[in-house]
Amino acid sequence: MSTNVTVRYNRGMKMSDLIDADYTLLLLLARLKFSLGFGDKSVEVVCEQYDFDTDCFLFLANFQSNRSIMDVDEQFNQLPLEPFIRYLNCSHEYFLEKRLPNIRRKLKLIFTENEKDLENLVLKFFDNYMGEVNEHMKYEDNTVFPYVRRLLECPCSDTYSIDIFEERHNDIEEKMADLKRILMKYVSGLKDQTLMTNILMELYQSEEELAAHTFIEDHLIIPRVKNMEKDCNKLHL
Amino acid sequence: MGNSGKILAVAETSYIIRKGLVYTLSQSPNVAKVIELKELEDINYQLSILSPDALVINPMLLGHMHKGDVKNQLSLSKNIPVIALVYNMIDERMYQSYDGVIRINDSESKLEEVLTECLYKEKQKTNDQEELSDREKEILISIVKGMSNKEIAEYHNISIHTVITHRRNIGRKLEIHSVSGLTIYAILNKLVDIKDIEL
Repeated sequence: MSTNVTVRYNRGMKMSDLIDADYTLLLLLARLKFSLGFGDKSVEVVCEQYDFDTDCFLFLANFQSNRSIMDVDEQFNQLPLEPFIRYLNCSHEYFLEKRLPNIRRKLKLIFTENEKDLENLVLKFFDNYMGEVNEHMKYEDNTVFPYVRRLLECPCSDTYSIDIFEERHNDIEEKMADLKRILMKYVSGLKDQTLMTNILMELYQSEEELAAHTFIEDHLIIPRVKNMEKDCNKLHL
Repeated sequence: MGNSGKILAVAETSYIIRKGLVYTLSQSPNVAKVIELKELEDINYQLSILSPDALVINPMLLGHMHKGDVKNQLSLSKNIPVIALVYNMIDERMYQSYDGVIRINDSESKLEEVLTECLYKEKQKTNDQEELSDREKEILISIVKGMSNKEIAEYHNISIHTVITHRRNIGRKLEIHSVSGLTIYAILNKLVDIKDIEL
């Protein structure tokens, strides 16, 4: 990230300038399934093309690049919830179908002949991890998000509660961090150091992406839904 | 993001200096979050809610009562470091009871140095020795074999509380926290044989 420059994003600026200001936003586009090739279109026009709320997009972009200088809660509270649910849905697909398989594909290429045992160990670790992430995200996709959508459409008709989710929402970054440290400290990388560097950077990045993802769920979505539930209860009393 | 990230609070009235400091501090690898305290009337109340790991404050804000301990004045616990943010020409005695001093013309590395020193004052001593002790290696082997805290306690004839302390220290030293991650570490370092382990 270009740490020497701080650019606040706005709807009128070119999408390409946004990426220039912080190229890690390419990942945001990937997570949202916005394709590249946007020419000189503005942020607003690209968002409209994908039918995604522009303010929510700007929030996500600023959240990724400028989190330390923005008032996250205040800005989030002025935005609709639905686009964020869509964003989380899309991100899940991106992690499960693109990000993690891509890491696995590379992992198979970094071990030397002498490191066969280690290779099996690491792949096994990674497969177990992928299984856990899959279960974690599928539960959100199939149970939690549909509940939030129902709540948005027709409040108060449900028996599920976001408390259930909050309680069972576990940490999925920890093992990613462990894998990163094991590879960095204990694998020689002799076979292909360029690829090894690439994997490590990808793991660091994924960990950050997952942490930001979890933050949005735990600190923005859950409190908002709790408030919606509270309003429901008041109506019923 | 390590789980050792600290929460800092910054109390300063100048908008530019506060924002600048918040931004700079948030870039530090040791810092997870920086909270701004804009209003100083109920600072004690705010601190009690936020419970930061350290406070950076302009000593001028507390008035000219330079005698006595800043921590009594702020009703902060003794182990929370308070760092003075100094940019006025003020008497040194105004910040003598602070744990550290940041000056407006400090460089990035100096700032980092002050932070690290204040945040990790106690840990510094143990930090030098990052190798696992023999006892910790034994505990690690038990963890990797899938034993519960209770089983480990009984097997090694120690309390569950001690097991938990060992686990915490192992995690801190190795920076590996999951059981499956520790398993790979143990196999790589020949503490256990791959055949004895169920993956």
